Amino acid sequence: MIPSDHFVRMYNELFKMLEEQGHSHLQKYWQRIASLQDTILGPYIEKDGLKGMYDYWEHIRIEENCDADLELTEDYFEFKMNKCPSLSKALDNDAGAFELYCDHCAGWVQPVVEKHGYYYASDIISRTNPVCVMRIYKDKAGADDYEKTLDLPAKPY
Amino acid sequence: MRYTDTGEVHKDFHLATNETIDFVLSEYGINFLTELFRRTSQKVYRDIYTNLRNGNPQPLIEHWSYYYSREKGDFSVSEEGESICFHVIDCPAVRHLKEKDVPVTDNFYLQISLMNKGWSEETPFEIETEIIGEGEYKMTVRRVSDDTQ
Repeated sequence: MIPSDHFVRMYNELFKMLEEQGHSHLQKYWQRIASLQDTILGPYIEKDGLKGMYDYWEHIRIEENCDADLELTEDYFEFKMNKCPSLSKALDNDAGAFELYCDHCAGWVQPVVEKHGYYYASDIISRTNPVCVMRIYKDKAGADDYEKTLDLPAKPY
Repeated sequence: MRYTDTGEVHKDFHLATNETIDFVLSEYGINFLTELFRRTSQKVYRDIYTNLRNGNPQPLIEHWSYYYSREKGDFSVSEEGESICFHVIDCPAVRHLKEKDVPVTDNFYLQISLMNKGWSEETPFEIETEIIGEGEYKMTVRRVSDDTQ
């Protein structure tokens, strides 16, 4: 079996292979993962909105051993990654990290939250340093304003 | 070992692996999936593969033992002559899919057989994958040549 701990390194290889076929192939895969993730994250959002997202990502913070800070406000939910285990593994990898590795996160999260009526913005910050910030807003204007302040906004589509 | 992990285990990655196999098979076919696992087995696990090419299967056995233990799988390891049999009695990945009510299809086991195919390619070993039942299988590493790379 592919160990749970190593899924991301296999995923990283698939990203490279799909990108070799053309970027739209990679985007189609992210959409497929979004559909899967909607079955897991979607019920949290439907039940409790931003608070549901906080609960979901708090569970992820623990289970995926993330060094991260979570914040919940009236307007948005923020997940600030101080050390991303996923990119860390992609980088600590004899096969090498895919150059657009970080985009997969926005690639699956954005479709899920938008499906449920929320707005996504995230700052990749760096593709070689495992830090980033994601915010999910109730209103589009908030997400748009926030995105204007970002160094490297994620644009998966 | 080249890779080790500590802390919690996010077993939902097994759901993502299952979904990925179905996606690749439906969109690109078996050759693409075979290439994915060939790259994973030989490039991601370069250390294991290099050792196999050099005639040493122990890093692979150590890898399996470590991660099946970490995910609380049930297994046994036995040696007979030039063969090492890693018998998985309760696969943690299959167990997790069943806990999540996700059907375990034959396609799911391709991650095992195709990784083993990749690991054995151009090495002195063959790795036979025998599916015995749901969540139970044997992976037998058998020396078939004295050639090392």
